[in-house]
Amino acid sequence: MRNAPALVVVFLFLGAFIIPVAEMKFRKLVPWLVLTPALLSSSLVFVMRARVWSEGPIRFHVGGWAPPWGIEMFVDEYTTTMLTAIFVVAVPVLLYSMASIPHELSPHLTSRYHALNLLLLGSLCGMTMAGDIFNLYVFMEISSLAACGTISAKGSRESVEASLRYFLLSELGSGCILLGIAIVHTLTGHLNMGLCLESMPYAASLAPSNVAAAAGLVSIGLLVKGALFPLHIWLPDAHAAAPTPSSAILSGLVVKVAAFALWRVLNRAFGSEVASSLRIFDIILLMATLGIILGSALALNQVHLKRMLAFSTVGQVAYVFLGLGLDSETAVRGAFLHLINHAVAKACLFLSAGAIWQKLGVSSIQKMAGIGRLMPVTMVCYSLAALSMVGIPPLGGFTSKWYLAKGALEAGRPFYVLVILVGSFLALLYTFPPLASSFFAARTDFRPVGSDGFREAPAAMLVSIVILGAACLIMGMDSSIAAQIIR
Amino acid sequence: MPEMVQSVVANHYYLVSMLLFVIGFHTMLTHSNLIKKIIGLNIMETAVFLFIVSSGYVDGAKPPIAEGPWDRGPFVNPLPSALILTGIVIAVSLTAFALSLVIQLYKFYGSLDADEIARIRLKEGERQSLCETRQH
Repeated sequence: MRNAPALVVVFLFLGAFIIPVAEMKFRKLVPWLVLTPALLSSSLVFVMRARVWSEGPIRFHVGGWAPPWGIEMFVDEYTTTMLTAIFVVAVPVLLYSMASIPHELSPHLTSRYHALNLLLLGSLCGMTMAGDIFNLYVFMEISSLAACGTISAKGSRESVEASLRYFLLSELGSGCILLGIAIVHTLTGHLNMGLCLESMPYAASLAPSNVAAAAGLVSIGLLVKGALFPLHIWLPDAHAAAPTPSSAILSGLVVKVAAFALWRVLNRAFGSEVASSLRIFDIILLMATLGIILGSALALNQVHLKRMLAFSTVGQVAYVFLGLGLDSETAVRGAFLHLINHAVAKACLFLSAGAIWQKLGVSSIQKMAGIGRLMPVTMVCYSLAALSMVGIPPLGGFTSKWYLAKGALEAGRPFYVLVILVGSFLALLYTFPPLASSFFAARTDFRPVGSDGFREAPAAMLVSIVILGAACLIMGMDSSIAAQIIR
Repeated sequence: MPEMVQSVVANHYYLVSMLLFVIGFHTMLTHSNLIKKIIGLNIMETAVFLFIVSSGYVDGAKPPIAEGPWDRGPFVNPLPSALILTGIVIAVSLTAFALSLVIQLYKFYGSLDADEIARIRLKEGERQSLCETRQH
């Protein structure tokens, strides 16, 4: 169990490397090769959670070499919260992809797609647990390559174009991050976050402008990857053009991990004094305010369901940045809670949208009228997730927005409570009309895709949608879970 | 003035790498040709590699290979070079992937120019909406 942090990544990567080989001889094994590593890693995360709670943060030294020379993996309660979010979303999404990917991609691509998915998840776990900034960069590059690969998997014009746009912008960000890391290395002589933090005050007194440049470059790069408002331009196309399981992972996890990494680097490598003297948090707050309002407003006038969901991600990820930017205890905890709640809700929304498209061929919001009667289970889960995202009381999203608002009040900034309320109202405006018409409008001219009479999606897809929908409900109803997560 | 010249001469690795970084960044942002964008990406990354490697260089020092227990003489810092090795591998794979995407796009549009591709898409969109209005 001592090696648990490394094994979480190793299991997922091993799965990713074995699948393309196994595909040649044992095609039937591929689903097992996808689900087994994910389940093994998630059980390890469960074990690590228990250990972090009882014994405090885990510092794992790769190969037994201690930090000034060796590589460290750092796991504390925030890390385990992020990892929990990753696996709560990833396991249902991988289950869903077993049934949906054969419909979305040509047969020779399916196993490679699964391999890329595992690679993406492994690199996200690595980013979360990285204890030094260079490994953070390496895992980040793996994740952006794997993400671009999954976006372009369909091979259509839109998906290739979206993938290239995402690639170019995220590499622009990566270049900035790498330069920032290089400057930190020249200033402090360390790459380990804890050691950087120790020598940062001295470095800042010697060369304040260099520290400022490094912090600015790293922040800009991670904000591009986290799609905070003016830097979100790559997101809608990329998330809408990707295959459904990838949309869920990209919207639910990839942008959140970038937000988490930014918070980690600012707090554990630069220190909050450097960050606050540069007013980085104020800039993040300004961008988040714009993102919450304009991202939601842009979602209002979308025609396609998946594009609307992608724009709503721009608005919702800004809530996470808002909580992290307020930098008060409660607000940060609220941000982490919102990160999980939104990841679960948005994954559920994308998966339901994919199921609707696969069974009925419907992809635009207007044509959703009457779907609630044909696919009741899917649409009930869709509504739970949508209302949780808006923040309607018994559901998960309400708890997290409550904590965010409380954090804003505690930080003495009541203005942001107003921002949170306006954002929620806008979210209600773009989610409610399609919901109402899907249940209450009568329409009978649907033609199901495929010959089977059963209108709901295949069992694997339905089960994963129900799991995520139920998670939205449980997160809101059972306050002990929220309390545990943000302990 | 001589002091400034001296500091420029002493730090010329850093200055050149920053200059290269800005050139690469500018190329990536402003050029509409996709191949040039990728070249810009490479210039940008190479600039950072130059920066890191030169930060580990010690004037008059030897490569970090001790010839015996008596060998204490100044060595070049090997860590930056090791980092760059990883960085180069990443840069190569990124470039390969980006070029493969560009080849795909060229097959679709017959153009490597981002503006030209946007124009073609706009025209197609107009044609489509015209067809739809005629159908109505």
